[in-house]
Amino acid sequence: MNRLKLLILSSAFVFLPGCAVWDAYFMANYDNVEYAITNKVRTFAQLAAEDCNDYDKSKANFNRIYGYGLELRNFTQYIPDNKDAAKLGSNIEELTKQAKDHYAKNITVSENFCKLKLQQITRSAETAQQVIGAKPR
Amino acid sequence: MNLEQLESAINEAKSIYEAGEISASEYKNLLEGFEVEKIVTINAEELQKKEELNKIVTALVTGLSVVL
Repeated sequence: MNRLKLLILSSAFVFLPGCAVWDAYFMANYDNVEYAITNKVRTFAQLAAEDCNDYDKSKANFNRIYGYGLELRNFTQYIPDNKDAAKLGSNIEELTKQAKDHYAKNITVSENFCKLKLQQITRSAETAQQVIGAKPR
Repeated sequence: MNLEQLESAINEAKSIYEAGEISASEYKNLLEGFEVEKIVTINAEELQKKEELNKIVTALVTGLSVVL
């Protein structure tokens, strides 16, 4: 019976793609800080929606959100076996940078743009948070 | 976020733009954002698959340890 179990388990290893198995088995574990920074991007983007009728406050808010996005990208970047989370960090940083740059280049920005951009950031950060939070313990 | 939700958000932004409630440069910026959102969805799915595979492999290794 034990030999049969061993045969079944060994076969499973053989039939799963080798690199994928290796990558998955040795992937970086759940990281409290990584999760917290992602949550900070999402939460602050949710709060910032209240200020969308005020250009100066919104500009400051987007600068701050970009700071959190950059922090996420930098934090995830050099953790070994963490390339998927690092990609998400880089994506979120890019999204926050788009908004920050738009405010830097324009002296008037519509309230609708502010709200829609914050929704993009919120949705993306939430998506990232779901998978970052589910990493192996 | 799934691709259906993303499509709905894209349509909403398009309607707002067509109603003249955001400028062309704002709409362009939002479209660039939707591209990034799509990549976020794909990258998140990749990480999710890896997490699922990790659970399987960990269970197999644990099982093997018991057997051996």
